[in-house]
Amino acid sequence: MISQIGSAAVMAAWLGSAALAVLGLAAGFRRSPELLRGAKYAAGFVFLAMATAIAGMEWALLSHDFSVEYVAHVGSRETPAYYSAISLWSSLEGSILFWAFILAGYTALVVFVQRRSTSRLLPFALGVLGVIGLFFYGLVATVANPFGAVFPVPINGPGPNPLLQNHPLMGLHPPLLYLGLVGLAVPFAFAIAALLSGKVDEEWIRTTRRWTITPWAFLTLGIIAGAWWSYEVLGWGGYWAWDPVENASFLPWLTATAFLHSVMVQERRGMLKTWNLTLIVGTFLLTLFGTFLTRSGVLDSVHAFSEGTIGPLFLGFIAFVTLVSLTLIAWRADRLHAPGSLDGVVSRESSFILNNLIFAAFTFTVLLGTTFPLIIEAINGDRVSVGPPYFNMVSVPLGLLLLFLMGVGPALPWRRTTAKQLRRTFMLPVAIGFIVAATGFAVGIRKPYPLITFGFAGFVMTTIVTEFGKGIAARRRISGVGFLRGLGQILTRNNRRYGGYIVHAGIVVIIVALAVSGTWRFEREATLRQGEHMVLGEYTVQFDSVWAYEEPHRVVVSSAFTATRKGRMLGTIEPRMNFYSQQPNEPVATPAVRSFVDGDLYLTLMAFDRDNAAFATVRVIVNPGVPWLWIGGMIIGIGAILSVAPQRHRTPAASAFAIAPTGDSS
Amino acid sequence: MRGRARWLLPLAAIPALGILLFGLVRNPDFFPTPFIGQPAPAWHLETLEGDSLSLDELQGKVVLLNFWASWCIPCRAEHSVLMRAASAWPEEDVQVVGVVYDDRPANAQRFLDQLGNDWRHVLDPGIRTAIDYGVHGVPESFFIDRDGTVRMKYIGPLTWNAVKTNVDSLLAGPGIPAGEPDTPAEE
Amino acid sequence: MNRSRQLGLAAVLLAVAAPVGAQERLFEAQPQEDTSLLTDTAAAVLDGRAAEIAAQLRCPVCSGQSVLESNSSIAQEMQAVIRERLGQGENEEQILSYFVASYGDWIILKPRPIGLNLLVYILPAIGLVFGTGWLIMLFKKWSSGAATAESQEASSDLDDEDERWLRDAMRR
Repeated sequence: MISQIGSAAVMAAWLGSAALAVLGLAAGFRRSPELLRGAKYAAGFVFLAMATAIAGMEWALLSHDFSVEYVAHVGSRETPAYYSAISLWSSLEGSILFWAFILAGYTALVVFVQRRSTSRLLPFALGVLGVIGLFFYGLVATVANPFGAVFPVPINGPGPNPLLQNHPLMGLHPPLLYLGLVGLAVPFAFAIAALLSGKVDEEWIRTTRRWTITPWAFLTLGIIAGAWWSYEVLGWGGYWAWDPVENASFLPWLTATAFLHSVMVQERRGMLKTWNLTLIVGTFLLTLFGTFLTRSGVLDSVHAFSEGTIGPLFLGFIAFVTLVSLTLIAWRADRLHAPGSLDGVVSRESSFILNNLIFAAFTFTVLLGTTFPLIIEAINGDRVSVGPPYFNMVSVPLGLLLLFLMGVGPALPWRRTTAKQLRRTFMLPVAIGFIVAATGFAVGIRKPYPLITFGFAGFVMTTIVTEFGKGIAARRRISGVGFLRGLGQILTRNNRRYGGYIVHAGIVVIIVALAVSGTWRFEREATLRQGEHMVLGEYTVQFDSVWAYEEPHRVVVSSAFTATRKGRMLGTIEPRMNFYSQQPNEPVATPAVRSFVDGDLYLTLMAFDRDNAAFATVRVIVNPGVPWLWIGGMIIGIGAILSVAPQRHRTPAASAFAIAPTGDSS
Repeated sequence: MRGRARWLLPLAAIPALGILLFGLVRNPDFFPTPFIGQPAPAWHLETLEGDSLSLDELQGKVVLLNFWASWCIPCRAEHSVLMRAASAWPEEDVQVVGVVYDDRPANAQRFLDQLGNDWRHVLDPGIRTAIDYGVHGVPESFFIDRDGTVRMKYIGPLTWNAVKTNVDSLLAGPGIPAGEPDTPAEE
Repeated sequence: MNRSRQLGLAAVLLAVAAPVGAQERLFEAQPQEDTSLLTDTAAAVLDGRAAEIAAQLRCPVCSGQSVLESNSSIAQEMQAVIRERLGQGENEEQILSYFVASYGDWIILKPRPIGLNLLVYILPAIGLVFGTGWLIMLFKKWSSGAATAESQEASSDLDDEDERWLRDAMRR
């Protein structure tokens, strides 16, 4: 039953998307409001159809309806309801269905938010979203159809991939990531709309400002949630492995971040038109590339789904998008040419341009490293690997440069600056930066990278605080309010700017945490008999016991260790190993993490004595700084919400997504 | 950017797309081994029966060195091919040797009791021999010629065709056997 | 936590592993002599160097994990090999070469800078140098064009947004 409903809904979405593509583009070229109205209805229809499909799939998953192919593939009666619900994205077909649903949601949201818009761009953008949808709904309707009917109906299924049902964060990481990756289709669609309509001024950028920041924030949080998930599940105490699929989510993040900055230069100065179009096209292509990597089995990766017929189709779509976009840019090259002008080399715009150069270099390097094994194999058949040692080597210097620019750019005025201004602006931040680095040196840190990181972090944080201070002081001068009211006013009235600073602060926190955990992490593995203990720095870890118990969907081997820090008892820590019936010889570790302000104590059960439970092998990792990665992520989230929130004094009664037709000025 | 050259912009994407296309058509399970034409790493190991055996003792014979384990499902499929190989050539010409990879001897013995056993198996405590040979997983097989040189590495379950072609060409004389080091079909 | 159904480890695992039959070898700890009271001494230093090397090697049976991270038995044994060879006085280079000799370049997570592998190091550098040069050129071009175009005041501490807001506020 659900098979038929789901298949029909997806097919309806596909047909609706075809109508959306045709009506949208036709409305754009013929400037026809009637056709545009038709396109809007089509977008609404597509959304309803996809919502029906998703609701049907969730219903099937939760009610264990094994007549639906996808449920027979990933469901099981023993799986807890929460994991049944989120197993929507635990395998290829479901994840593409979810992906397509989000695309339909964003498209409908564009229609809703822009319902009063008379912009030339809107019909084209809807048409482009329709074309993208045509591909994704087409995949769901054909080669990746999760709604196939199974007969005879199995009594039970195998359950989702153990790795994906072992931790609640699985419910958070993929949706955030998809909301980010898919959302970037919206600014892309408006960019293509600008090219198609020939209206290549700043309108598409102003219209899509929130449509860029919001997916960017989702993507950022999705990446961080993914790192957190790896940390909590994979058991090696790391959070980022430069795995191809991780890189695939990081690459569009890099270009999207560059884009967020470079559009400000175009808004202010009308420069970088071609560059901004290229960046957003590149970003969208990289989101497709990431999906392609995850779903085609091109590069081996822990995160990859199994391969299928989807790879060639994806590649075809990537080729189509690349060729069409680049041809359009080439076609409009005459209109895109804007005479650049720079009043001063030391100015905010030039620091943003420099930031873009480094982001571009970063993107190129990560892309090269990720695909390098393929390139070499294509040339001479050799197999090489490019892994964390390479990526760390190249990304640390580039990351430090970006960190430094984060302190420079926001403090520089647009257009130009005088030497006197420079001194006044940077005297304090530079001094603090030096003091921080010198303090680090004084307490015995001798490694250059951490010292530079801390110095730069001190510099950037001081700039940010100074910027806040200046803003608050100005507000107090103007309206005579107190400090807190002043802070509240700058946050609500100039939220884009100060929200951005808060995001920066979150990123500084993360970079410092990365430097700390990368430098001072240490680990030890040992086999301990009951009552024996080992010593790691300030910690001792003693093995108490190991036992097993059964749960409906798995067997859990749990162990108890008693830990102390500087002689103080920390109580019992219980790392576990979960054996799922799908892969009885590959247990999924559940490390036990004890967090402190300055870092984590991380225990993974590696092996145990089956016969007498008398001894166990444990890996103990002292992981300083790690909790601050997640705290930094939350700071970024707060800053991002603030910067897309409506500005109170300008649109007093508007909804959170309201964007004035002509774009709000900021 | 504004001249005719701008139309070259889309063409720049073609090499990148080509690389991705290559990614789809290549065989991800194929790993070239640096040992082809190199002396096989020596070993001296205890057999499953408790005797000892070394590669040196087999000098002068063609050796088919097969890494396997009782917990490996494709190894079951390949077993009949090895049974056939072990009896197809005279013992003074061809010796099949199984290396038990990451497994308990008792389990290995039970596996052989079930499926039959006509050749010798050595134990590899600590997986050291497998590491010496650069084994990625089981089953994997090496064809070693009479001089103790590795001539061919085969990844995945052996097919009779592959065994026959390679062994025959090694028996015929030194040199790299005809036939690409292809990997077999799925288990 | 549910301890109600406590079972012998072996019994439980046999139950899980039954379909395939022979996984007992896995996840079985081997007691070593003298593991109590390990402290930050020579053993730890060896561990640190061993870990550095293990982090550069790719686990042969995993996808994309290093020998350091993986808990597969072959990765564990490779760590043991590294420790042994360090103990015999070999240096990092020699140990890496040993693994390359058996597994090929694939085993190293950072391509050795020889032959075509050099591309992965040189291309980003070329890109950065080229990009910087291009940017300098553009900056020069843009600066010369703009010198007379608009010569406004260098802006004050207040951002344009603040200024606009200030004007609005004054008007109100």
